[in-house]
Amino acid sequence: MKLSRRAFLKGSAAVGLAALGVKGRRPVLQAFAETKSEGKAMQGSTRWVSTTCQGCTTWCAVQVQVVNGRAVKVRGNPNSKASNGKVCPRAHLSLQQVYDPDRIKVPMKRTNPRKGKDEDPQFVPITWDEALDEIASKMMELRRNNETHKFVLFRGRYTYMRDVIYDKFTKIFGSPNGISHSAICAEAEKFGSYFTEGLWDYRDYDLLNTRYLLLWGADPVASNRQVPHSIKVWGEVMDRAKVAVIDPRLSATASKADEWLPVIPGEDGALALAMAHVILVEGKWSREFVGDFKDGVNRFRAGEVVAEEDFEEKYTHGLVNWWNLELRNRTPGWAEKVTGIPAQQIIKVANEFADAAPHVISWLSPGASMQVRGAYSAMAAHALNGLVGSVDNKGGTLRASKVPARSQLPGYKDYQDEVAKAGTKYPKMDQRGYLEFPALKKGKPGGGVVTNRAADAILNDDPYEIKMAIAYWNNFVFSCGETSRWDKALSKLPFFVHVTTHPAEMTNYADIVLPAADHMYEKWGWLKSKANRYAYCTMNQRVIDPIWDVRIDETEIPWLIAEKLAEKGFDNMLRYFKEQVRDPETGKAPTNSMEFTMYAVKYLTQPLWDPAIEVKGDQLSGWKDFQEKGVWNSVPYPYRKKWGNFETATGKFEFYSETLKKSLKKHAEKHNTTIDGVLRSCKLQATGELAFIPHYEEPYRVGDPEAYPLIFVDYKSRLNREGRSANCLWYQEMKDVDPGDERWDDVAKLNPQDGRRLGIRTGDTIKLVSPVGALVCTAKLWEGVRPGTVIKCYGQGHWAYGRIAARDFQKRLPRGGNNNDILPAEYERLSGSTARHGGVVRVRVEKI
Amino acid sequence: MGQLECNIRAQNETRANLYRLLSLYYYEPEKELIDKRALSFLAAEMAQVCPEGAKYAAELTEEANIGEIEDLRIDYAKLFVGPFDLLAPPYGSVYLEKRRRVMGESTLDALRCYQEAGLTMDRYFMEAPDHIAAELEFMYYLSFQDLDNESVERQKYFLEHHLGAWVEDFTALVEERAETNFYRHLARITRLFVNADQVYLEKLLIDLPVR
Repeated sequence: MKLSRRAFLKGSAAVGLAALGVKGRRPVLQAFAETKSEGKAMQGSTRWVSTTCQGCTTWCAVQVQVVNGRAVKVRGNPNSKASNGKVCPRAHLSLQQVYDPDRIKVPMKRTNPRKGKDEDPQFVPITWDEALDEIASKMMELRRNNETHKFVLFRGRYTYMRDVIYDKFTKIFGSPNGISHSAICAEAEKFGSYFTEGLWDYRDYDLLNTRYLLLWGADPVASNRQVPHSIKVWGEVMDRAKVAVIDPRLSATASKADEWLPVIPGEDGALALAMAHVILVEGKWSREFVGDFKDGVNRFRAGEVVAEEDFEEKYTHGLVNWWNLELRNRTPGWAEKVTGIPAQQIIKVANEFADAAPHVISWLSPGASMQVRGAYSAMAAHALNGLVGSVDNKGGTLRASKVPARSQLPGYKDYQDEVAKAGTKYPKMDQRGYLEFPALKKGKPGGGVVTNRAADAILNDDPYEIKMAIAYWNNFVFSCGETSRWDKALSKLPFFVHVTTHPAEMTNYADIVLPAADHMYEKWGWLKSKANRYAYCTMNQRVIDPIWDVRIDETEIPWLIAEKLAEKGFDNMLRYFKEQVRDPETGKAPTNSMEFTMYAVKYLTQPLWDPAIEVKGDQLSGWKDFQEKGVWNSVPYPYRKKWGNFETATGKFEFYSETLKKSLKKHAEKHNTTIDGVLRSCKLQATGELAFIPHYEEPYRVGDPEAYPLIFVDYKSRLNREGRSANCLWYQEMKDVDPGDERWDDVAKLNPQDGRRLGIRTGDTIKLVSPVGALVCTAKLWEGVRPGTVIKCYGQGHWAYGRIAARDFQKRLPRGGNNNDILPAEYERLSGSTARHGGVVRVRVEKI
Repeated sequence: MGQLECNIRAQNETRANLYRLLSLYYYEPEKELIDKRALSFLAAEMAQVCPEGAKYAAELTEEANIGEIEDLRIDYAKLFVGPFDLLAPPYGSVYLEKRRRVMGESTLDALRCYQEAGLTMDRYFMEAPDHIAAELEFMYYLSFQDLDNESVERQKYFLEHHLGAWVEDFTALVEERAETNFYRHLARITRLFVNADQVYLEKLLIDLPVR
């Protein structure tokens, strides 16, 4: 905090100061301003303001109660048809985040030039002007040297205002490198629905009409996804439907389920295939969706080949192929051996699921897909929805109605000069599209991001050297597997700017730190999401006046940098912002960062609030109305809309994925190899036509079973605000709301059988050692763990996130350990996704 | 004006100076405030009301061991700004409510005190209202007002419920965790002065002529 009025300091300080106390003069104020209302206490003003919680990817419309300018309470936005006024515990934790004294308060500059985990950056406060000037100078240097492609914008969590900083800012400057975090989030899950039904997205789930829920590692009352809606209706769901949870740990949802199937990590695919086998052998597939044998006689018998021409498919493609190539041998007896789940339970669950169909859900989550060979597990689990006709159906898995907001600001190409045009022609820096990283987002080779590979790209100058990065709302050195690579990469990066609300591990490597506005309380933005059959748009609003000197990451900061670039002779970006982003109501051009922010939010959301534009959903009367309600709801999603016109190569739901065949072929051709060659490079076992169908792959694990006898399982907390809440007291005080966890601690859970065998007791301090790293935490013996596994929640282990998050901040001792220190940098390469699940790593437990 | 009132006025001027000056020291370090003249002034004023604290101020003056302003800036950031461990959070609520949060109930009570005295937070003051600098400045402002029972009671209330209630814990952290002599001494001076002032105000209430 700098003195804002320094005039009195001029000349002799002592004299100046001595004069201040003299009676008869007015006091000279610094922190205060005088008002005319002396003697009046503040008026008790209370209001509820709509905004958005981004504590997880549900993106709930919420409201905050503000009393005398202070946020005191959070509730679900009652105007939302997706969550109907409900929130989960994460939203409440946000109050402790926004008022965390450990937040970044002013721009800071590193004074220790050495970088590394153990280097103290020796930050000092600087002004916004100084910070922006330094950033713009570095950017101009890149421009002068025709090196704009050596600039990276690392995006973490975002609102849909990302278009400004991630896309337009980066491209007009001249870099192809908008690099998002998506691949550490859940891309492998989207692979499952894309290569069966052509949907690269999360699904919605018709919980209120479902009769059976088959949850593949999903834990909807705690995390991923639509948590408030799930919590709200769970009682009703349990009244009407059976719930089976496939998860090596007893999750919150599993603890309330009818069936718990503690599968051996990584064997989810085998289980799904065996269930498909049972459904076909028992003749319980959907005649309406899938079709039938021409003569109505079921020929699916274990081990036996079926003639393709005997079966007539309706809305699906390749069932018989799938059966002949794979399913016929995937018997429950076989599956029992590989999955550790009794054949009887597999048969029971498959039958009950099929009997309740089509009002059933096979719910895929990162747990069952973000595995090295998880792409095919994801396809298998989602294919069950196709098999019983629950896809796009009542009580089943759904898509979303359209949210007709604008996704992009107007065209920018005219504002790219020659330098920018040349710079953006370079390939992106994260190695997407390399032979071993097909990253087939929406079927396009190299279409998706390979976030965690960016560290290797920086370290090896491959594809080229990186000289500067701006990162916002992320913490890759903590949140990406095998963190030690990020430590080296960020230490190597010559100039790094971290834009963040809280100091994080990544901040430790920054040259400049910029304080960001909190997304829920201090920012302007908008998001779209879905639940309960409604798609919706929800607004991020400035609910309270920020206490500290923060700026909005996605809009204000690009504007402020653009101003500085203009001062230094490159005004294209500022001109673009001024000329192309106008207030839709008045037509005015922005003159400062906040006006720019507001006009951009209004422009992108205009179709939703402008009464002159007709849309399917809520009709709002104007911007003010939208601001007040905070949410726009679509019409409910109609059932069976996609039957017959799925966005696949055949237009059908593909059990034999022609869509995947095309994509893999394209990728193979690009690298002059075969599809088998591509699969081999991606650490997959399949050859030939298996590549195009959901098939069995043995789990891929790092670590020799002799040296590392236990399989490690990572999961997420119901209190994790994306790994950002560990500095909140409530997080630590209530950590035991996660089944098996303890307050103020980070416990690795082992089955009591394993504990006895290894001589480990509850409360022991232990070291988990994997081939790539080690962490220290507390042991707990707990029955909710599959024997042979060690299970630990992600979220603790921060060494730079605030005094509460760390055990001893001064000594950089974390509270517990970060799972990513022992997880290897492995990938589900077909989607580009990080592979942190499915028991990707083995560990040994050492007592210390 | 009687002798007593004269003394009270003189003392009040010193108090105002000290609250003002101490408040300024909790902003980012400025060259003009750490030079010998400013520090001598601090020492001289402290000598009037708190000889024990004056020793530390004198030490800073004499030894001229303030060091480089860059070192002070680093120490200032680590103690009061962050990032990473905020070694001595300069916010009342952190100590009074023991939840390591800003903007607590106690913060609102501080705001209420400011508003009753006719003040609001300046729009350029980008900090929590119960920041040490604001609370010290508020006492400076109050010591400007006419000396009557009401004014003294107001000051006494604020010291009892706010500044005086957490200055001990706060300055203990600064003393323990500062890396520079300057901030260690500043913590001592702040604590000694605020404590002495609390005692003084008690006495003043008894001495003050009833009007």
